[in-house]
Amino acid sequence: MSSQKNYFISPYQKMIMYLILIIVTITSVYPIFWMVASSFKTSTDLFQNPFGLPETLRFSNYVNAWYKAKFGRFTYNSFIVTATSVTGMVFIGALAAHSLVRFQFRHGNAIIYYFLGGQVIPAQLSAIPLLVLMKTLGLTNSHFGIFWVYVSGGLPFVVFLLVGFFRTLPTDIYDAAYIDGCSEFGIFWRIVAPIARTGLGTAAVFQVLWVWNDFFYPLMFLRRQKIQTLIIGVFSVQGEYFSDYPVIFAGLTLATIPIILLYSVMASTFTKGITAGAVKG
Amino acid sequence: VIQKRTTKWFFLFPALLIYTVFRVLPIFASLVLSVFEWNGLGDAVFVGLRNFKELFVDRYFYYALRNNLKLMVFFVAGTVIVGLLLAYFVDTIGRGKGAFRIMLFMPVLLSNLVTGLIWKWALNPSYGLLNDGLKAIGMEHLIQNWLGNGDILVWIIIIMSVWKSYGRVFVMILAGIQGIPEEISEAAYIDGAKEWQRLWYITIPMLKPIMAVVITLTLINAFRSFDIFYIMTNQAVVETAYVLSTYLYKSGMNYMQFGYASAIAVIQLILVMAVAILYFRTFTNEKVRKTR
Repeated sequence: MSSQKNYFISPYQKMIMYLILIIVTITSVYPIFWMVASSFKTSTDLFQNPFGLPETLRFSNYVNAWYKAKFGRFTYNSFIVTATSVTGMVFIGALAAHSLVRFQFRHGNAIIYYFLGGQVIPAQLSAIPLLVLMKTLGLTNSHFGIFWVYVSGGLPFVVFLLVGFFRTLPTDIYDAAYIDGCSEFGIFWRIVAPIARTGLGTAAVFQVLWVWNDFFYPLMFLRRQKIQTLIIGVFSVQGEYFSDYPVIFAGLTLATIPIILLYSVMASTFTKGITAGAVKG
Repeated sequence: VIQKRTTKWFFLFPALLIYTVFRVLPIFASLVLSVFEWNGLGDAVFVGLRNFKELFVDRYFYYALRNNLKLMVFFVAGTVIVGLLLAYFVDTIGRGKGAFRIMLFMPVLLSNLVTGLIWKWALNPSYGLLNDGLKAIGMEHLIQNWLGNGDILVWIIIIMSVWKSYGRVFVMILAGIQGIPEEISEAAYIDGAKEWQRLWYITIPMLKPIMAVVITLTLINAFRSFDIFYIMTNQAVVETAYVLSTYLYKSGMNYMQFGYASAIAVIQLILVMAVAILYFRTFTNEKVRKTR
């Protein structure tokens, strides 16, 4: 199919395109490769031989990162925060989206726009009143507290994406199920959720990417080291490890591996979600 | 029927409540706080528009505003142009589509912290890779304290942000290009069109709806920028490299000027509103939705 388009292009022009593409691809991948390579080096090796491969594959940086720098604890925290928040926002958001699609609301579209507004307004803008609110409710410095922040921040994307997705489902079966004595929650849980698996998966994958990588909310709300996530934990100890920076690169690699794994399993979901439009940064 | 009326609100209510309390109320609270002086502990004092008057004679505020505008223009243009060219090249070559898509997308997956610390290490003035590299190829006169000069740093952060985002734009535009029917190109070829004419008169106009989506989303991301600016300026305070969000954070969190910080938030909100109108028009436009 694509080869037919090439009648416009000379082999020479094609070569130049290829060359540029390869250069940009190397630029995209090399820093990640460099980070992983650096995480296996000694400090001296990192200074003397910054570009090359490590001489031997030393895991001592990882051992230090995991135990001495408490990255093990941080990794555990990241898993807890990401799992609870993303489950919460997808469940609550899907329920709302289902309600908006299944039932008549007098201002149904207005409600959707109301949610959409939160997608546009940057989180930092309301950070200070949010901090005051969190302190008043006693929700700072806890995983339970940051859960609410993530759910509220993630809902716009989940609701918007799933309203679009649920509209494509055959809604006639809902009434049929209702007549057969299925409860409304049963319709959501046993009919909508299973057939909307792809939609729910797409929403979840992007939210995992966001929550796992997030820097701002933990910076604001997780000040105590014991409960910090990997991203903010690495950030808060990096000053102490300035003379032993490979440990920090080990931490950054640890923070990147789960996302790369997720991507390698669900690459097509990522691509589909992105081409579907509304995707958060 | 009555049972259904309660059910539908029962399903919607948790989302509405959490979203309203934690996401919407703080935004309105910012508006209110902007006319008060408050350090977060004692009583808030009503000061009218004083915070805004101070803001308009604050040098740092203008640095921040200028840098936000730079981002709006150069980050958005850079990301969209690079993404468009990559998509056009990959589509034209027609081989290795999957491999390019995976590798060009990699930076999108990284945390801003990972991006920030890798680049920070590379740009470190005393042992960074960039200065070492310049020395190695005998261009010592270009050696800089890359992280200490705010004006240079802003451009570096713009480049970093483009690096982090072109993968997403590339994937979106590539999908758009592949949705253009082959027959149109064939017809143009038979009519004797040149490649640049195909690009200018067919590909780009056909991409208009998707470009609207891409540009709006990138504009919104431009306003979200905080992490990389914060990370890159965290050790040395470089005032000329403030953006509104980092200056707001500094005023609020470091100097405890909650009212002043909220005044910055109001200015930011006004700028975002302009983009928001564009966003709503793009995302509620039926024609656009279908092409997506």
